[in-house]
Amino acid sequence: MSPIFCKPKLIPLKTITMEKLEKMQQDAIEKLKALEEAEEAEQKASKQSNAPEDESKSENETNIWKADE
Amino acid sequence: MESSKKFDVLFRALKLYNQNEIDKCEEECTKILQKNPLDQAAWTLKLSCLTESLYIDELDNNDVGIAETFLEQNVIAPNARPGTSFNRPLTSARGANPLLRPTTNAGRPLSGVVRPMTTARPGTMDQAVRTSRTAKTARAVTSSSARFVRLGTASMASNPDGPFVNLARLNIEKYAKDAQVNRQLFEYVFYHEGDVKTAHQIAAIATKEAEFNDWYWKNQLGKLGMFQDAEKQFLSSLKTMKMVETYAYLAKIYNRLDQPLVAIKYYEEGLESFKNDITILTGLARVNEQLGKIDESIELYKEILAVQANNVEAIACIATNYFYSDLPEIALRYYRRIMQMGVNNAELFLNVGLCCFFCQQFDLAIACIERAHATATEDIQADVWYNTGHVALSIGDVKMADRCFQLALTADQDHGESLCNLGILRLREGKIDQAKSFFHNAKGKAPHLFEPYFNLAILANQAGQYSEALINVNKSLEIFPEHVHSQTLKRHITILYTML
Repeated sequence: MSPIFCKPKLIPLKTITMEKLEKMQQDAIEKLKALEEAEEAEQKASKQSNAPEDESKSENETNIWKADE
Repeated sequence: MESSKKFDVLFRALKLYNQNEIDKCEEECTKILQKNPLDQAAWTLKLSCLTESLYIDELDNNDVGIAETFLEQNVIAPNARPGTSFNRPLTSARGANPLLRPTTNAGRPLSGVVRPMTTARPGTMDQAVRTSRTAKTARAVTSSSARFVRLGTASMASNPDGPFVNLARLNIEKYAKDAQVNRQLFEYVFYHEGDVKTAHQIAAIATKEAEFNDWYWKNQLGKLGMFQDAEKQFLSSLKTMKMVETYAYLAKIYNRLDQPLVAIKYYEEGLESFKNDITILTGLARVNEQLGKIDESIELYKEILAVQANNVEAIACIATNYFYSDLPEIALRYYRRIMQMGVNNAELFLNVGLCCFFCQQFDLAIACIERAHATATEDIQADVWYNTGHVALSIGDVKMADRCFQLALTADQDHGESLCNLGILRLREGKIDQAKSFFHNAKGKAPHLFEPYFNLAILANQAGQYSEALINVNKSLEIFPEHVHSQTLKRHITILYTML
């Protein structure tokens, strides 16, 4: 008696509904990704524009560790 | 375009909708609405456009998530007799021999097509989480049904500024009563927003407004997923008007409740009124296939082909059946027919390649398989390599086969069949421990296969570990009761036991 191999496997085709579902999922994911990327880019842009102001602010702010000096 | 500019804007939008130019139509509608936000015609047309992009045939959409499977509250008979439940298909049916025809993760004979429909064999939840979706008809770990896709993401993705219709502020009572608007609104809410509660509200008001005489609203109420209520709605809908889809929906409910025999009854009732209807015949063929009645299913698919000669699902299922009935040359003709109809994907090329290979047309086979590799998407990568491994094995190129199986594992680490075959290759090299580990791995990853159990039993038997051999051979017989070699091995071991 010898060990048996698993048999070759035909790959099932996808029904139209299945293909449509996958396409819908893919589209939704891509759209969401694009949205997120756009948001990130916006955030970055706003951070860059805010950055110099932040520095000037921090200079004006009271540093509690140095307040006594 | 020049002449179309003379058209009335709404007429142009309608024309675009008819020509299936949904995006352009939506733009036109938006323009009209910007001019006059109260234009109801444009508003409903835009609703239809938005629905169209996410429309899925609910009849086909039958995906059940993991929660529903293991925490199922709707099943009527949990311990059904064989042949009366999807969970206990006839394993010994003719044509469903796992020695010839591989099974899916769910323990059913491999089908010709994948459908968004899943009913798993009862297993542990742990098993379901572990087994991946490689064998196609097995469930995904998370639900990937259309409803799930729609939930949340759909409206957000299509409209970053917020949904087109603010359902919370909409006067549902008013619009649901308006026969000019309510269908489009319902479909928008159901398909696009995935808001079943509001959809139910609209349908309930609309059916009342139609004095319970409109089959459409009864069917919509039935579609919302409340099984007990749905049957009443559908039966009442049949009294108003006999429609094909109503019979199909009735059967769908019973499929979902795991009562396939009742589903078959409704399909047959439907066939009495609508002879040779493709939707009903397809449903009937699928139920029979899932129950393990392959021969009946194939007969039905042949009937479908007699009516509609270009039905891909029917051709694919018949082809698969011929292939596993040891007639690859006939299977090849069917797959070639699908190819002639313009389908052109990796799955089809690989199947054609395999058919060619097994009817000795080697030159074509290699070309087809190469083509399949070139176009394969991620989800079938593992299966493509696995089958290529088989071809290599048949040529005698063991080294290449070994590499192919390993590549299949790289693509999908849970590919049980590849693990099992790699085990045998290691065994041939004399590395018994490695082989054993592969078989153990395979039976963990793919509990629906009997091969790893049988191979382990042989190994244990040779090593004189009879109790382990007996456990494994019993497991193998549990999955495939008619396997002659397992039976022989079991008899041999039992004799040894009784001698003591």
